[in-house]
Amino acid sequence: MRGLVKWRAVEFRLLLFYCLLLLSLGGLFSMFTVASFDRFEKEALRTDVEDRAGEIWAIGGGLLNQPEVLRELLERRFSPEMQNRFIRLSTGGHVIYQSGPPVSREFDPRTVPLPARMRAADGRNYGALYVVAMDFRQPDHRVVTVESGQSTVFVETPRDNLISSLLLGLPVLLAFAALGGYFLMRQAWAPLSHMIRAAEAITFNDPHNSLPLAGTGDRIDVLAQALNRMLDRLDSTYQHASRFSADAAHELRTPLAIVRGELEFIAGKADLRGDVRAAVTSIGDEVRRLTDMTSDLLTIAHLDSMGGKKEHASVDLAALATETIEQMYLLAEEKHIRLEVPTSPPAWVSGDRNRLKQVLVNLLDNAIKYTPEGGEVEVQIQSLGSVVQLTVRDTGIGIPVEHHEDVFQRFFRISTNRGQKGAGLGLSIARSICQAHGGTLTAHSISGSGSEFRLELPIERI
Amino acid sequence: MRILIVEDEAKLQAILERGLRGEGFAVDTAAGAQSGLDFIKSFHYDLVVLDLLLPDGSGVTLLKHLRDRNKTLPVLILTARSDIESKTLTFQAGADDYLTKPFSMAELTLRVKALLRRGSVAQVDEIRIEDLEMNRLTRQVKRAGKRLELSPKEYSLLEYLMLHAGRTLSRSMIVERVWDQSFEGFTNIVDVYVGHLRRKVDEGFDVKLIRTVRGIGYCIQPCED
Repeated sequence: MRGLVKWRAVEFRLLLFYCLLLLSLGGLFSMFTVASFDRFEKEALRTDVEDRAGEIWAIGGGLLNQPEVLRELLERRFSPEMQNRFIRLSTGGHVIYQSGPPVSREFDPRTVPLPARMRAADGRNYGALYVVAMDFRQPDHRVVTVESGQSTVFVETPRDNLISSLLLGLPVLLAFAALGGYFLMRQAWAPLSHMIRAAEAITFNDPHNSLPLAGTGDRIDVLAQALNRMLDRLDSTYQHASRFSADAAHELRTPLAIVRGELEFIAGKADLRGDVRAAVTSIGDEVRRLTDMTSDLLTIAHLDSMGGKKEHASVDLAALATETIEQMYLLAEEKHIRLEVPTSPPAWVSGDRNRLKQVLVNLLDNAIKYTPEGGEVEVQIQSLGSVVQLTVRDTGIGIPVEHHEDVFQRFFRISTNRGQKGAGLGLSIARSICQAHGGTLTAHSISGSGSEFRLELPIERI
Repeated sequence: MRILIVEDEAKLQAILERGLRGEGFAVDTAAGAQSGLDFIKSFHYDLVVLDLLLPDGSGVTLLKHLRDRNKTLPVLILTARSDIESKTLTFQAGADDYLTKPFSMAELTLRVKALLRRGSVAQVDEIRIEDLEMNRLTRQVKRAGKRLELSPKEYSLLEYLMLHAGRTLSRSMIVERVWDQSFEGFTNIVDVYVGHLRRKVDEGFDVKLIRTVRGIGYCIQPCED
């Protein structure tokens, strides 16, 4: 899991889905909890208040004619001002007793209207006050309404607390769950990331390398096994192909040696007719061309099968370029081409020195070959992040854009001019070598104003 | 001088035999590793030309057997493989020189002659050819007493030619020894460098010391034939 969050990646989408699910489930659960709590509390309040109304009647029912005694008894028993309670006894719109305002001022008892219709156990809310009215019949058939009330504040406060802690707790829970989910997912992806690294490290140079199995028997393991079988098949096809081309090149070389030997024998005869000698020379040239091609093919087959990189040594590309230029300097001077040794700090790469030099020789030889007299060939080396970049730029005929990739194709030639030496395999070989070193070789040029070949190799990690 | 050719391909064997006989050598031929070894055990040879790929075993094995018996007998390997790795392997097994098929008979002859005279190159500090002098300690070169300014590569090239004065050296021999394996196939570089060397060494002198041997290579005077 490198770099920034990839918004469309499966990891992120899973995490998002998981969080949304958790959020809706948590919300539903909270709503349900709050509602149940509320109902339970109200139910408790109602029972409480109703029971008290009965108790009030039991205490005060016989003392309706002695209001002072009634007040004293009720207030001693229930202390409504202190306990936020409301008590009222009335009959036919006439108040016999009514409790005073509570100390906490949570409600005002004077705002509670007298009950209009008399019904048993009729509960009502007056602001923060819950009141139940109950009718009792006197022995003289007079109906007395007993109202018992209680401030709901003590119910609402815990409910509000519950809601606020749920509202605060849910996001925290969500954050923890998301974080946990992310780490769990990373944990689950770990074998996959491991596999990705292993797959990237696999090259055909070491066919024995296969993807590691975690041994957990899960689907990732199954995937690794399937990929390993595919690698095996690829590998054997590959081995077969490169073995075949190597054998073919071998078998071609012996007859070529015989043809060349016999031709030289004929050419050595002094008494050849002029036209026969010309024919022999022509055959000789073609044999030489075939020979070069066979050599290049064999080199390519060999590079393919070996991966081109057998020897791992630290190579300073800057020093290697300087050395190569010094060894080829006169080729440029011969054509009055300016070719200077690059001034660059050491640029270390890991690889086979001889093979890398072969690439440089190829690139320089091409650049000199295709640059007209008085031109310029420039070699530059620089370290760019994790790669070393070497460019060979010339002021030659350039390569049309449409052929930038073709020049690396085996046997490709821009002109059909057969006079040019070589089989058109040099750049193909050079690219094979670069790829075997985990690098790239690309052409960048404008037809008519010169070509630039760009070689990029990974910087050696120390 | 007696040479043994171990080569299973009859036609190639005939060409080799004809070529080397033409140069005045006594030549025996063997078609397999076993018969080759039998010949070596029975007769005295000055040099062996050995094909690396034989029907009854690898030439490398034969080479190892041969080296067990005779440490100094020069062996020239013929092979279809030109990669650096197999070259290294062959030299490790004790080969003295190496030629990739298809080779030119002239090239083979040059190498055979070079091998036969191996050791005769004196490890001298000063070489003198006509009025051309080379001091290998100070790396100074003078012609007719006048100092010549040579680049390091030009110096190496002249040194190689002068150490083998009188002998023709093929372009590929020069590339192998003065440059390195990375330049294999780029023999045109030799012509360019010899051209420059010639301008510095021979221009303005009546006696031209560096001679081109057409189609083969170069030689510094006095050349044979």
